[in-house]
Amino acid sequence: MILLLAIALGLIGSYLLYISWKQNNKFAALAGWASLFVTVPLLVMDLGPEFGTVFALGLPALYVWLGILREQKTQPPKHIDRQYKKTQFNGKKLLKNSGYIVYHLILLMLVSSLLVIAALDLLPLERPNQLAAGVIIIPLVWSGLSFWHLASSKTRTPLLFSAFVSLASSIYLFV
Amino acid sequence: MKNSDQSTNPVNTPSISKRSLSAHAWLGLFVSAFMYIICLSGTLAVFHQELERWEQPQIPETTEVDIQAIDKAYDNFVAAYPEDTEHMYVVFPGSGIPRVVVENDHVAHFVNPDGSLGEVEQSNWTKMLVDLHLYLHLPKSFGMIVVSAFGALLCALILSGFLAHPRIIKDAFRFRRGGTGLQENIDLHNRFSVWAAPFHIMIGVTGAYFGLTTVLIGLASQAFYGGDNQAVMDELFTPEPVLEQPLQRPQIGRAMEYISQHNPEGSPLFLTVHEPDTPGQFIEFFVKQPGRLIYSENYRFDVQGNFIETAGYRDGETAKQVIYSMYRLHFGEFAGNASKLLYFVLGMMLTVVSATGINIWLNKRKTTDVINLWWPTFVWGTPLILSVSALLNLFIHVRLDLFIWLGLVVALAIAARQQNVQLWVVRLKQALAVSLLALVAAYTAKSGIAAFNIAALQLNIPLALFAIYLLLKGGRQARP
Repeated sequence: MILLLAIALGLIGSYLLYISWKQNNKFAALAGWASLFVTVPLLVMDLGPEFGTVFALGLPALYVWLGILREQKTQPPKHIDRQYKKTQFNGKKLLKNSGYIVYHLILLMLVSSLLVIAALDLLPLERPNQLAAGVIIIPLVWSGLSFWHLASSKTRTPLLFSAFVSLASSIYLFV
Repeated sequence: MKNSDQSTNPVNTPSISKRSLSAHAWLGLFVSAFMYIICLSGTLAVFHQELERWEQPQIPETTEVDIQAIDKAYDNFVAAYPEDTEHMYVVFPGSGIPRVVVENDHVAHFVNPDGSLGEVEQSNWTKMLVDLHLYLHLPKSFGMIVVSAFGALLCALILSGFLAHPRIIKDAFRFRRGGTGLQENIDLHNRFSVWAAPFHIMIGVTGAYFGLTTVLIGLASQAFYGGDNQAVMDELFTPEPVLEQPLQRPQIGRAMEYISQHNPEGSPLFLTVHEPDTPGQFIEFFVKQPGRLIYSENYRFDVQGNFIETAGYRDGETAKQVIYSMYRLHFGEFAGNASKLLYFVLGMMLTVVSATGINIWLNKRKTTDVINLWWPTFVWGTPLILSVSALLNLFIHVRLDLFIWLGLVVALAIAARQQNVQLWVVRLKQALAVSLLALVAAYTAKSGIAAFNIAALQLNIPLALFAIYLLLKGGRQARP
C-alpha cells in the first residue's frame, strides 16, 4: 500500500514538474519536487533505508517519460546528402590523442589514487574508513581532473598540477 | 577534438559550456565503443542468473534445502572428484537460482532431490557475457582495471555533459522525433542522461570500485603496511580464522542447523569449505540479509560444524559495510525482480546514451566517411553477434569470446563495403530479429518439453516479442 502510494506520488510529482515546465508555473514546480521528495521516506518506510533510497533515486528517470512522451513532436523524415570523404591518417593527431588516452586512463588513475590516499591520511579517520572513503572518492577526483584537463584553456596547468600532487603525495606516503 | 591553442584572452576564451562540450566530445569519442559494449553487456548481465537457468532449462528446480541430501551430495562429489582443490562449494536456491549445486574449483554438478549428483553445470554463454562486462575478455586482473577506468571516465562524462548543456533545464521534457535524426538523438541522449544521472553516477563509482581496489590496496600496502597486501585486505575484509584440526569430513549439516536457528530471516547463498582436507579447513556460510545491500553476512565454522565467528559485515564497521555493498549496488541483485527490472531499464538508458552520443557527433559532421557505417554496425552488430553466438552455443562448443570479437571485425569489414547507411541499419535490425527468432525456435526444438517451463519462457517470450517489434519497425523503415 505504501509502495503504491509512493509510486503514485512519484508519477504525480513528475507530471507536475512537466506542467510547471510547460506553463512556467512555479507552484506546480514546487508541488512536483515536494511530491518527489515525499516518495523518499515512503519508499524507505516500505523497503528499508538502503533499498528505498536506491529506488527513490532511480524511479524518477522512469516517471518523467509520462511528460516527455506527451511532449513528443514528430517531424517528417528528412535526408541530408553529405559528401563522402576518405578517412585520412593523421600521425600527429593520433600521437596527441594516444598521449591523452594514456594520461586519462592510466596516469590519472595513479594521480587520483595517490592524492586521495594522502589526503585521507591527513583526516582523523581510522584506516578502514579511509580506504572505504577512498574507493568512492578516487573515481570522483579522477573524473574531476580528467574534465579539468580537457576543458581547460591552459592544458599545461592541470598537467603540472597532476605532476605536483603526485610528487607531493608520493613523498608524503613513501618517504 | 580538443583545441589546446585557445587564447587566454577572456574575450576570445570560449565559455565554460563550450569548453565542456569539447571535453565531453573528446571523452565521448574515446570511450564510446568500449562504454557501449560494457553498458550493453552489463545491462544484459543483470539477468545473469536467469540466463544461467535458461541455458539448462531441464534441471529440476526447488526452493527447499534438504540438509541430508546436501550432506550426501557433498560425499558423492568428493568421491567422484578426489583431486586436490582449494575450495569446495555448495550453492543454495537462495542464491537467486532455485537449484542446488555442489562444486570445487574445477567442476560443478547440480544436486538431485535425493542427494545424487545431477548434470554438470554448463553456462558458457552467460559466463562469456559476464566476462565481457567485467574484463572485456582481456586477462582478468588487467581487464578489470581497464573496465573500472571506464567507470571513472563515465563520471567525467556526466560532469562535462551537465556543464556542456546550459539548456538542460529548459529542454527537460523536450522530445523531437523524425527529421534528420539529429534532434531525436540529441533529445534521447539528454533526457536519458539527465533524469537517470543519479543512477549513472552510482554505476560509475561502483563500477570503478572493482578494479580500483587492486590499485588502492597496492598503494596503501606500500605506504602503510610495508608492502603487505594481505594486511590491507584484512582491514577491509575480516581475516580468515587460522585453525589446526585433525583431518575429517566437514560437518556441513551441523553448520546449516546453526544458521537456520540463529539467522532464520537470512537466505543462505552458498557455503565454502576453505582448504578442504587440510588441518586448517573451515566452513564459511554466505547468508543474504533481508533489506540490506551488503552481499551477505558470513558465518564461519570449524570442520566439526562448531560456530567460530561472523565476519561482521551486517553489524560491523561502516567501512566494511560500504565495501561489501558495492556488488549488489552495482549489479542490482538485491530486491528480486523489481531491482533487476529497474537496473535493466536504467542500464539500457545508459547504453542508448552511449550510442546516441556518437550518432550526434556523426550527424553534426559536414562529410561522411567509413565511421558512419562502422558505428551503427557496432551498435546493432554487437547484439546480433551475441544472439548468433547464443544460437551457436546450443549445438557446438566454440570459443565464444573469440567468436564475438572476430564476428565484430567481420561485420565492420562488410559494413565498409555498403553504400546506403539507412538500408544497412535496417538490414542489421532485421538480421538481429531473425537471429533472435531462430534462437528461440532452435532452443525450443532442442530443449523439448523443458522449453515450456518458467526458466525458459521468462527469457524466450521477451526475446521473441523484441524480435517481432524489430521486424515490424524494420518493415516500416524499409519502405520508401
